[in-house]
Amino acid sequence: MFHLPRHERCSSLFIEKVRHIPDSDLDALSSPEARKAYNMAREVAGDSHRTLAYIRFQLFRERVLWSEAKPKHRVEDMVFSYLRKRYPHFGLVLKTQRGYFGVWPDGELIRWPVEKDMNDVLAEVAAKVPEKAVWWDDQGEGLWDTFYNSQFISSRKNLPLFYKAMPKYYLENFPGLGVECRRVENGTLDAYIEEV
Amino acid sequence: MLPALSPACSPSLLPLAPPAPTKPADTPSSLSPTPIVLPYLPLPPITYIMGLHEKVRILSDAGKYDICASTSCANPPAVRPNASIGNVMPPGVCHSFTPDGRCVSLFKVLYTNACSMDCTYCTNPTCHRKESFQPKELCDAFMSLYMRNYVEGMFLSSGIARDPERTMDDILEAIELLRNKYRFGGYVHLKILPGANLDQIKRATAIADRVSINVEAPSSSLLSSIASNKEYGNDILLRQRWIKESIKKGGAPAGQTTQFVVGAAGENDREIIDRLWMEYRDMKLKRGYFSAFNPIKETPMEKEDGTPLWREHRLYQTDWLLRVYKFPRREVYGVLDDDGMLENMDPKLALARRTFDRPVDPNEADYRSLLRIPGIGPTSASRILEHRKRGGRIENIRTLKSMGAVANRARPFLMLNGWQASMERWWS
Repeated sequence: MFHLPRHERCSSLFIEKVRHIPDSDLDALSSPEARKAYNMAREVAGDSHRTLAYIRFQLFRERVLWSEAKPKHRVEDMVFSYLRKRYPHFGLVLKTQRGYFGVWPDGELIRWPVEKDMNDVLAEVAAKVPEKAVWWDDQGEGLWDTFYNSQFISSRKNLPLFYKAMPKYYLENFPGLGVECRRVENGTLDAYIEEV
Repeated sequence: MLPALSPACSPSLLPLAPPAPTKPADTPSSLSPTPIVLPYLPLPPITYIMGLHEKVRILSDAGKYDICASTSCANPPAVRPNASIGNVMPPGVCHSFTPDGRCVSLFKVLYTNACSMDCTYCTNPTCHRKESFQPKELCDAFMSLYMRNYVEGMFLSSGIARDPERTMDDILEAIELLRNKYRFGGYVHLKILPGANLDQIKRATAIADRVSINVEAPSSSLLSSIASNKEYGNDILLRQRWIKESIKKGGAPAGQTTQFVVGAAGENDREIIDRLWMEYRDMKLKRGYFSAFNPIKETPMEKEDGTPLWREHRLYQTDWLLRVYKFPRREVYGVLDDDGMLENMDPKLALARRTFDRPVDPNEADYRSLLRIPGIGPTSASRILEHRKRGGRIENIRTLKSMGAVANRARPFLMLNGWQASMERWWS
């Protein structure tokens, strides 16, 4: 139930109520309140997991990876704890509806107000990253379009399953998912020509 | 308010020094009030980009029929020595899904689509355009995707260009480059080619998180009917045993898997279940994957009928009963018809209809019986027992539902407070 305070619709009154539920009920989920608390905690964990999965980074000065997204719940710090392990030599910036969140190697997680200019935030973080983090021949973002479009097997098309895995909320609020949106809504030109 | 953030997160503690003026060329386009171009990196020559994109298109298209997309690893390695980018998350991450609902979590490509095998269901032997990666190209392409958080790791398979040992060496060279020079510490799934030698398997399990070799069909005779130059015992089962031994010594922490092409060789489901069960018992397989046979143009089997997707789905459900629920194989046979095929029905429901002749009281049933009720899985069965152990009773379906059981599926098989749902109505 550690995640409850992060839930967007969880009141302090409910958290207090959950504190008084016996551990046995919480373990077995044998009361409606226990179940509700469990479901809320799961929603937060799920949102954190999907945010981690669906953010798409852009590169700034070969030092900073930045993205924007609108997670449903207050999960930014959970996401950053994973991202820091994944990209230890990069500066990282994520803009959400709650502000800018940023971190650099060996630095603390910092939050800036949402009114601040993105360029200033990126420059500030980039200045804290001592050396270039990208040294390979970067192939750019277009490679993802090529790869993603090659993975679809038309005989298995199953849009309900797609939307179950990628709910519309995330397609609409995570700008990095443009390739997936275009593929589902319009198909590719090749597919269109083949159908015609 | 955000919980559990450090005090540094407070806007009042923002750094005081004004940021250095940003060059216009460095500003991100989508968030800036004025549109600005982003030429951060000197672009490689255009011919190289086009060539690599085309290779990725061809070799990932050829690799898409390999189903495994899992990136979970219960015991991930501690930080790999020298790793500077990438990590393994124990539950795995699915970064995207295709419109067919399949997860895209790995950069799944073939190293080469040149192949000397004669698998009749596969597109590689007949494909006119042969391509191969160079190790550096493969690593550059992968790192570009990983850095932007498009994928969770690499899945590398290959056609067998003449000599399997030589092709396997090329694959290993590419992954060793990724691990050692690019210092990638994330997830790698490596395909072992039939014919790879013991030393190569040891190298593969040392650098990959998961390795696999596809059995394709459940028996030697069935495999030879669709791939005449693959030898079941020597090329596949022997290699699986070597992999098992290497894993036992600490390699490939996510274990080994395998895949069946369902329906290509005309096998029945009982043969698949038998082989799968032996794989779990003898090869310590982590899990099996099923790919419904789909006739591909210009292959020798292009005019054959494809396998319905529901058969693949029912095999996955049956596999779940064997692997997760630990149902005995003999019990699972109960859902097969006289021809050894599964019906298009949830196998757990089919088993329950054969097993229960009266409703079950969840206040008295043991774990074994609870697990056999549709809608109750290992977690909810354990919760029921825990609740009873502490003196609680299940008075109504709502309590059961709050414990995670799927009430509508379980209801027809339950008796609560002496009240019995009408099983007859369920059957009709």
